[in-house]
Amino acid sequence: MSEAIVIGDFVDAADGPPAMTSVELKLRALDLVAQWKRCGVAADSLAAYFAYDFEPDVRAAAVGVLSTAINELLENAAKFCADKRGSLEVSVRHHGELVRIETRHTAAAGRVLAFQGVLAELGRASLPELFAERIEHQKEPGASGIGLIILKKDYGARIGARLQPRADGQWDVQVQVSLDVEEVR
Amino acid sequence: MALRVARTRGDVLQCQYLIAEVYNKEYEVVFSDDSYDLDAKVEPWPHRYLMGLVDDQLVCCMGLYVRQTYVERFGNVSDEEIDALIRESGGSPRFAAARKREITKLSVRPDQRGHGYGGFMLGASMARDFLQVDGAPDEPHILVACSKRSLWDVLWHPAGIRTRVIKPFPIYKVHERYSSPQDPMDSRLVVPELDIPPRWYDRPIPGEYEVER
Repeated sequence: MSEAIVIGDFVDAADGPPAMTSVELKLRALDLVAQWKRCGVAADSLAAYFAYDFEPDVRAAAVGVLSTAINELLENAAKFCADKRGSLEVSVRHHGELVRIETRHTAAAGRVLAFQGVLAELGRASLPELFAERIEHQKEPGASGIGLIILKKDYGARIGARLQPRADGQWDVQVQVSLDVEEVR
Repeated sequence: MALRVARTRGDVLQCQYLIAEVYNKEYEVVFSDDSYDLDAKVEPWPHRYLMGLVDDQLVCCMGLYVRQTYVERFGNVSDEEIDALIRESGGSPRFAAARKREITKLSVRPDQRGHGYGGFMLGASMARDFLQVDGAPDEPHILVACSKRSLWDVLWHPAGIRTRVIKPFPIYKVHERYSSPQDPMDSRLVVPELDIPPRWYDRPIPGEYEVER
């Protein structure tokens, strides 16, 4: 089997500090595809759960930031999950100085290739220019990655992925967004 | 195939999950009861469903908008345009644009394709018992639909259904994997008693039928 491809700011869970608070959810992609607002419901719930790690006067702000980030990753995972009747996983971990959100799912090779392009652009291009370009072309065909651009541009999110080819031609995809707690407050 | 209109919440969910699986895989569409955004590929669910069951398993289904049709919401089709076509067809005053419905999201289970279920379900969904479901018998609804041109020709017209072109359908991101400049979409009108053959329109639902490939 080929080696995994690691792009951007991806941290193996075993290498990071232990989590103070953590939640893992296993969801069926088809449930989200059939009722898209479930992505928002799950994101809001997880965000509210983690907001209690923050001071009372900043909890509302924390819910807003965390929900935006979780929803973005969850929507992408549901859209690009290859086996819609299979499960995707989302985890949120608060490590004290940062909150790390991660999704795990399978994806078709074409999806992985397009996603690699989106991540590569995030690392290279000027974010305001990239954002303006994506807004201008968002109605055109193809993956826009606009949500990830916003997370990086507005919240200083560090974004990374680990892409592992599988024997069946599909890929195991892990996507991480790490937010400094200062950006979450 | 056993045909019946979805009545229970379990029936509706079966249809929605089949449609979601097919349309997400083929066209990357996702669904919502109460919101839509065609540029984000979020589509509104139909209101009613016709189920096609073989050996008690759902193998295909069709959705029906009974209000806020896709054609009027996204196709920029006005009641005036529809009424003009109804008059031209000779369907006035029995039919009027104010009473319209739209069939949508024909879906066949991927492992059940090649049996003729899609064409049969399209024809069967023209049945009065589905199109006019929950309506008053003396106030029938006309049917509107949108599709890419190739499907009118390979699915609708071979079933004997006459379609009347209303206007081209605008281009949305949600259709990027469905239509193309070479095979564009348009909105069309079907006047039930004039354009649907009796073998479809008068077909009793619920009922059991042989499906020919």
